Amino acid sequence: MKRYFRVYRAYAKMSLEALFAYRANFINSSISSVAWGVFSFVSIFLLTSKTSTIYGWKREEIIILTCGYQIMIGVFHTLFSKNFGYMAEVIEYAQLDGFLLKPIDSQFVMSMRWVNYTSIFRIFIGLIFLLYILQNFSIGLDPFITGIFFLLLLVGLLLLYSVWFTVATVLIWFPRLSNIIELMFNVSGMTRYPGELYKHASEYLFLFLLPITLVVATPVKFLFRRTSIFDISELFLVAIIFFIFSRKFWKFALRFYTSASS
Amino acid sequence: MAASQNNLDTLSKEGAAQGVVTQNNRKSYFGTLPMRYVRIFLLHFQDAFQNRSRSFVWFLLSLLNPLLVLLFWRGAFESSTSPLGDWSYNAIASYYLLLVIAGSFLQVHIEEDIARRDIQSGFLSHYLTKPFSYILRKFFQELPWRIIQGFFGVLVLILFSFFLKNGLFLTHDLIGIIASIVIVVLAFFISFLFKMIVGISALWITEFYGLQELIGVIDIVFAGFVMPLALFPSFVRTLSYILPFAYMIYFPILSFLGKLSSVELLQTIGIQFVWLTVFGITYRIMWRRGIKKFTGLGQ
Repeated sequence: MKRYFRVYRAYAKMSLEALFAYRANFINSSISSVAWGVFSFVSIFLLTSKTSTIYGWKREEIIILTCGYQIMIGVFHTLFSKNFGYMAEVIEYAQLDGFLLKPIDSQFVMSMRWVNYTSIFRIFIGLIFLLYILQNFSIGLDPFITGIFFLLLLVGLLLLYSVWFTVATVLIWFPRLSNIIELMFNVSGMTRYPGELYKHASEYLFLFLLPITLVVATPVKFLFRRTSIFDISELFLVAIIFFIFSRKFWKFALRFYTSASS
Repeated sequence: MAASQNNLDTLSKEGAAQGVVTQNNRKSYFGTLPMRYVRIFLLHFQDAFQNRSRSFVWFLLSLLNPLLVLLFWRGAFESSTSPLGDWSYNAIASYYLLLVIAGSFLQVHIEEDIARRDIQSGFLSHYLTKPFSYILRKFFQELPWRIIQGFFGVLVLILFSFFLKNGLFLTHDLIGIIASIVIVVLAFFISFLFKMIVGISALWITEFYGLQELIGVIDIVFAGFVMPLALFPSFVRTLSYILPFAYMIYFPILSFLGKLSSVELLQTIGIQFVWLTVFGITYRIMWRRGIKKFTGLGQ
């Protein structure tokens, strides 16, 4: 375990060095990270400006859902999403065997190789807006509720990671479909809408998207005391099942990995 | 013939700048030039068609967000009688369905290929040593992907039109349809030139990811991907009408919806020509200056 921490520290350091090596990119990435964060709020403010209630969610609740999404996606992009792009590239260009030969867990390397520091801005934007909205709509919070909210966000993060990793694993069979990672960015964006939106469209769609609908909505509903013990257990259970599945699926997929002369 | 002469002019001028095309071989490809580009187009079409599953995933990217926002509006229309003023549910549904086509057909994605493959990895030298215009090759490389993804978009539009109670909200006026086609063609050229400029900016900034992301956000907001620009607060709307993004996506959709008067159609075409000229000149200046900075080793 200690060895993995040491390796991760080295990866984090290398990512930081790479970030400062290309300064124009660092500035552009930071601006774009802030822009994406602000964009999420601008779009949800615009969308909710014409109506006060949607699918039983009040305007402020939908905006807080966006705050939760920002915090979650900020952490996710900082720690993981760049790695999935890297993983797709490694599989597409048949370089995975180089990693499989190393004395380290391949899922760890594929998921943790890069840290995208500029996405930290999104976490701050999410937190600032969350505090502003809570104060503006006089929604009181105690340390216990706040603590559980962040714990549930962490569980949601594990679920989101597991979904991404499961989808990315499919690339072992279809390496040319590397753009499926781009699609996952949009799929993650679905977490910022209430689950009722999908339920209303189709029960089957809702069932298919169930993990996505739990990722942010359950922690945010907890803030409004609208969750039962069943909702919380559901999030924990689905996250653990998906994580175990993603790991088993990766191990299974590796049996089918082929490459030549790399 | 005029088009081929223009191609030749572009080719000879760009080629001359690169030291590739000489007066001696100029005549030899004068007659066959259009056919060469047709062949390039067909080759890339084969490639795009062979990778149609990849194309389909790209298309899903264009499909997902408009459908999500449409579902969102559906909820709004159920909670309130007319939350969007003179935009009925049918008009808004038609807007987002046309947005799927516009996003897949009119939104050019050549910039990443140019920046990463051609400039960062040095494949640009392949293009520079061949007697073809770089911009035209890129155009015919991109076009098949747009056609295939646009075709998926049309299929979705047809499929969804069966579920809309009062059918699609589209213009039936012949002049409006002709003007809309002109606007779409111009929008495609503006979008292409803009992305060429973004792509070749990698000649200066090398690591391109940040710029690409930044332009992506601006594009989503000001091209009308969130909601029709007419529903924006007035200052954002004014700004979006000044910027070029609306003329690539929003106005082509609006023209097909029949929401533009004859004067507005002409005005849109006029502004599109202005943007086309601005981007054309900008690209030319950037290419001439940028190509001197390019270094490709061992290609």
